[in-house]
Amino acid sequence: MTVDLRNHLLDLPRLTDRLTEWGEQVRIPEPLVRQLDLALEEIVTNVIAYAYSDDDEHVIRVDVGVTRGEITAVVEDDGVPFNPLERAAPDTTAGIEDREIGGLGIHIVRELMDRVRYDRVGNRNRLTITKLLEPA
Amino acid sequence: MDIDLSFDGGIPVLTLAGRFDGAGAVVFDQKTAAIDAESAQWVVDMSSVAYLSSLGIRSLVVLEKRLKARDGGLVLAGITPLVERVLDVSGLENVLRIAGTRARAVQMARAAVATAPTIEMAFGSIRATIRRSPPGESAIEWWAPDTVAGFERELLAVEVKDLGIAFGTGILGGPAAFEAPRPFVSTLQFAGMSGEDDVAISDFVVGDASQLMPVAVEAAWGVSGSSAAIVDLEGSPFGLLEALDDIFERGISPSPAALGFVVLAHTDGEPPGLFAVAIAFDPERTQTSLDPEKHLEGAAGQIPLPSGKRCIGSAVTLNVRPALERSSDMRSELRQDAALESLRAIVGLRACAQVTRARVWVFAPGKLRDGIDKLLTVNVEGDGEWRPEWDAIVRRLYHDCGSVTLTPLPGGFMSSTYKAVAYDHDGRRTLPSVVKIGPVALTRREQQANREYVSRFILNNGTSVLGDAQHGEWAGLRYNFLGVNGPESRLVWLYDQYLQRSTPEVLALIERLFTRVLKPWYAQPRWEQISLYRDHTPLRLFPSVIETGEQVLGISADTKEFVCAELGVTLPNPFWFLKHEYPKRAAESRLWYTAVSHGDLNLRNVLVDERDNLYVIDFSETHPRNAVSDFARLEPVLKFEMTRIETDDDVRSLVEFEQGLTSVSSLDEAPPFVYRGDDPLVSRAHAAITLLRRYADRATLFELDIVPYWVAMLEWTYAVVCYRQVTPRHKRYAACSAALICRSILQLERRVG
Repeated sequence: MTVDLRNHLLDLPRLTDRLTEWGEQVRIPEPLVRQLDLALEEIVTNVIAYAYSDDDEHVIRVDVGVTRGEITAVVEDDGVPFNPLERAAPDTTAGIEDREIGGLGIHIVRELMDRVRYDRVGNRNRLTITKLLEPA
Repeated sequence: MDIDLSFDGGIPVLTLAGRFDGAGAVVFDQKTAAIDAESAQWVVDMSSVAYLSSLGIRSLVVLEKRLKARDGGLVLAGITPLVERVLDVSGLENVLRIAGTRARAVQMARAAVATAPTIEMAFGSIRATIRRSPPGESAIEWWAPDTVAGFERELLAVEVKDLGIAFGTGILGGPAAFEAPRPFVSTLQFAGMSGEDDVAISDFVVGDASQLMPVAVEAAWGVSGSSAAIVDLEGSPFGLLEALDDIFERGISPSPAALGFVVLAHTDGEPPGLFAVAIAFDPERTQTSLDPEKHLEGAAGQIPLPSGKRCIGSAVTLNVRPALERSSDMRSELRQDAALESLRAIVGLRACAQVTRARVWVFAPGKLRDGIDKLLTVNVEGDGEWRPEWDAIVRRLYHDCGSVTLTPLPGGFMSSTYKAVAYDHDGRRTLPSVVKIGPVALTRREQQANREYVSRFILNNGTSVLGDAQHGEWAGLRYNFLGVNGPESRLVWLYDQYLQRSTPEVLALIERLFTRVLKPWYAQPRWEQISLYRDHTPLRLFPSVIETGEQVLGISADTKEFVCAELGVTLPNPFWFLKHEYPKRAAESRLWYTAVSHGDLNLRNVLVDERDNLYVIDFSETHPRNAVSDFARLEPVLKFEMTRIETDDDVRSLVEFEQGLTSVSSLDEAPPFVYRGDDPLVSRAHAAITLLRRYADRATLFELDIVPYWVAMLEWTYAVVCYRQVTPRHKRYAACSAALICRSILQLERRVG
């Protein structure tokens, strides 16, 4: 399944719709689809926020597939080189007063997914996430 | 996301519906910015939110910070699974208050608001500020070993989180040999046990891990529920017990028969801080109201109070003075003090120093109950071994259930297996499951093997580990069988099916076991160097084989030959072979096929349901090894455990049968059926063994060498000599069988050499 998103938050609901439709077709349990949805939204939101130095319209490509007991999703953008995995994990133990706002997104992705990998391929950023399908 | 705002007794309640994502966050920020409420305690009902992203979290945190500045905050209600997960990984589960239901959330918010009405009083020279809480329920709990069928159990196995706020005598960490129960105090933030004598240092555990700490309780009392009032006391040094007596006398609730107290105080001396839990009661009144069975009256360590009432309890001295901030609740106060460097020692109430300041949470219990009643009911059928710690393991495994009945499944060498029928809290029967309890190391190994080799390969057989729990030296696993028909499913061992059904049906079951369930293992062998004699030594699991052979069968391991009277021939002595040849050959390696194999595949590790679905269990020995191991493991089971061995004639006939089985020189050769006895199970064993060897041949991609099969089979043939539940005739047959296998190995080696 492939969706091309524009670099605007208002385009995100299209991702959710396509993912939900796809999940039903290939019979992925709804809770897993929601986790994937959340992880992809966090990644795409990150790309929109950090990958572009101009105000032009860009295409962010999301590919999702299921093979041999795992779901793999790839997010590709043509933005400036940016590896979100190099961002320090937020301090999730801090009290409410000391807590920095933001920076949580990629941490949630890491926690929800089984593997997360960043590659710079040519002039594109590629983030690959994998979720294992465990028996219920 | 839709947001609806309503007010419940002055508390703003936001009801959210939809996705709390970036777009939802924008709506949420706009809506909440416009709310002008007197109360700084707000409730957010999230029961219709299945999705929360980091932007949604950001909005919640911003609002929480805003309310916190006014001494308020959010209480979340109706958290759905993914939202809970996200809150958890973001570390917010401990920052935001979370309630199970909306009603409970409103109650919590109201309790937080209810700093008023505040009453100022003077108890003699002590200034008292009393803040009543909104009505809530609380109970006094007593914990004691129960009496089962006339046998008094010595200690009750529970965990700190079961006890909650409690004091008593017991052993923190679970029962241990040579350790006597000692005074302990538990809370949900820390727990501690006094040293072996008054001088010794108390042991404490703190943090989340402390909640799972096992406790073997001799006797304990606890207080649960919500407090009725918070009383702040301040004055020139005063006695704590007298002050508690005053609180009782002045009437917090209309006419209590008993009150529970949780106290944090500043003392007059050293150590500077104090934590105490106490229950005060009026024995005449408790008998008629709370406690007709007079549990309180019989409680140990009662201290008389000036008014004639009595008090039981325990205290912990603190190296720090508790903060006692006006707005904080008991949980956050306790968390501040629950550090190993702050906690000093467990002391009796009488030994407490005078105090200058104290905060007392007063509980007005509506009932007194057996603590066990709030936990899961565990019924165990049959009269096999059952340890009290296992109750705690089962309670953990079935925390989502109200009761569970366990029926022992026979078999299991190191661990015990039970079929479990559990009912949820509403009394609905859940799918049948299986519980295995064994030593921690064994259970962990099984769990690891399950993760490494089972769930990744053989999903279709449907056994999945649904939970695990540990208590002291024991650990348990809860297995669910995905293919099970329903609550009425019958599960029996393959062992029973082997005995009860026709030979073609039995062969069909064995065929399904290998071609459907376990095939993903065997069908992917690797070709690599292995050391047969090192990998298959029986001495690993049965270190006393050689000694037992000498003691029970009178066969010395130091003579090369073994006289087999049954056949009238002389054979190689298998015990000599084990003692002298195995060590020599341990360093030899050869190329051979390896595959993931179960490691202890026998008829009591396979369950069959009424639709002939097969479920393999017990993976504690599962790992890649000689690809024919499982087949070679089953053959001795069929010969030594599934035939009649009652007379010397039986043994002679079976040894002749064995001679036939070992007469082949290649894995693809069907063994001849040589048998003069009258046991119909022998021909069944022959048919099944023929099938096993065919699969072994297939698993090795039609290799012909039978020696790896012989060596793997020898491991479990020697083992019979050490089995406890078999007769000397079984052992004799096993020795003859081992001798015949050794002969075959030596003959094949000579041929090659």
